[in-house]
Amino acid sequence: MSNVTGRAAARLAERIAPLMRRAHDTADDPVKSPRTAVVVGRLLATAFLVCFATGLYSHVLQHPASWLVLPTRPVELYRFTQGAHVISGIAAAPLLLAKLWSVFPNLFTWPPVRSLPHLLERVSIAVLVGAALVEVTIGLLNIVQWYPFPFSFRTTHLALAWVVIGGLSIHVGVKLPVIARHWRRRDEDRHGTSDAAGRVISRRGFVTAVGAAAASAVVLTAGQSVDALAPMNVFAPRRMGVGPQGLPVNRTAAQAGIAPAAVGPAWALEVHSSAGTRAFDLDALRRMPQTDVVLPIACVEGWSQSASWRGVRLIDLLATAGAEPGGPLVFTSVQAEGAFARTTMPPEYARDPLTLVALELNGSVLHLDHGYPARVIAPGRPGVMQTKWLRAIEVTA
Amino acid sequence: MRLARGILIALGVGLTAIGGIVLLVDVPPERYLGIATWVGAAIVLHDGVVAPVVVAVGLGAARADRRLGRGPVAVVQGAMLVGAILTAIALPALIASLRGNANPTILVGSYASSLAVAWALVAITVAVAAVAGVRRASPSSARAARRN
Repeated sequence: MSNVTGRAAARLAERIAPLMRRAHDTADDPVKSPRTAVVVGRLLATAFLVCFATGLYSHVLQHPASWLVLPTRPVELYRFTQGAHVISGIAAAPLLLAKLWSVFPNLFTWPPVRSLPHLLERVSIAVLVGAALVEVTIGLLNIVQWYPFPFSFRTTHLALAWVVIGGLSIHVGVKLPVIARHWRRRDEDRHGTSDAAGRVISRRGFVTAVGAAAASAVVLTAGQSVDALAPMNVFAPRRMGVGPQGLPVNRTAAQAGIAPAAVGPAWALEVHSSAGTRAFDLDALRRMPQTDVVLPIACVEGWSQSASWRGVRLIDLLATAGAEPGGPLVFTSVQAEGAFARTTMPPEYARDPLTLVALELNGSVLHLDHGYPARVIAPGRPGVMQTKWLRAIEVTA
Repeated sequence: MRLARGILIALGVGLTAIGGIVLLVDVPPERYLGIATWVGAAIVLHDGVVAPVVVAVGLGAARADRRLGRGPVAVVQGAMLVGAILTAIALPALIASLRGNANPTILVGSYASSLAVAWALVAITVAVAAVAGVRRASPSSARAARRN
């Protein structure tokens, strides 16, 4: 019986082998050389590593560990890291497709599995490729706030990021001898068959075209976070200066379900601490010494913009209430629901003289969409942590 | 080399395992099927549709190559690659803006017309390269081409 299935399998293989060889030869191109894969691969690996590091930093800021002291300077640090996250993610799209293009003929390797290590390698490549494609795709979908996928963006994007970086490390480990051999241009690349001629496009032509595609994608989108590129921003979801008081918002008051009555004359900001509870209405806050700061709003979705804020220094407000920020502070919003209706602030931000309970933005009273009557603005934090429509601050010792 | 490879592979297995732990701890099990489907579909869509189409375009370009010459066809391919990537980047924004968003400060660009302008520039580049190629292949320069 096993003899019969064995023979059937052998005959099937005999049929498939030439098909696979033909597919391989059709997909092949002299320009799809190991050198090309190395040149494009290290650009892609760089983009992925930047995405991974900046993404982890963003997660750490959103879920601060109590033992970790986070940097409040430079004030534009998060603006820089999260801008870099989305920019390198966008650049990764053409680089990933180019990398896959350069190794596509390998898909038709025959026999498909030579040994157990070979099987494991092919499985790890499949996971790496699938996870990388999904990671870049859902990243692009998230920045336009379109969620056609049946899972949560944040946790899935984080989990797959570990899988991609792990798969990348395995892949580099497996291919290390090839990578080392082709890291620098070799003599045969320089002379004779040089610059791998290719069917149509040479290797250098290909790398140039991929570079042009990545550069144009970046230049035409990065203006949502890089001031100098703002005039060239045509494809990004956000545009600097577009929004109430000339600043975009991540979530409007209507989206957050803020009832006008909740932020009306009866509104007051409560400060809870071991010294008891003190309530400050809007007039009381306005009578306190006001401070002007210039701080960016930097969204996890990658857009950011600097703005002028005016309000009460948080540390002064806490002192007036008799509170001393020894441990994390909890900010509660009027907003009833949503992942960031309650946020935690490590004490290093509360002690920073630039951290305000802001009442004004760009020279006028906070727009309702920007968190009227009062919001938090602190240096170097993600926009979602800059709680709007403040209702209460809890101070722990 | 052997040690470095061992370290990289072990590190990779460890990092992947962290991803697995995040999936187990932070992602509800009823989402696993959806995630697996997306990862599988991404592979199938790329290997079964996107990559073969690109290979076909490449074969077409190789044909055009004989008529127009290498340089112009390379320029045409490069321009089309830029157009395709910009389309891939702009398409989510375009579709999301058509679906609408209650927040008026997001999706504020005119993605359809920007994309049309981008493709118009691609078309101009293609046309210029094609004309250059045809000129070069014209009888007056055919002798020069043969000599090369």
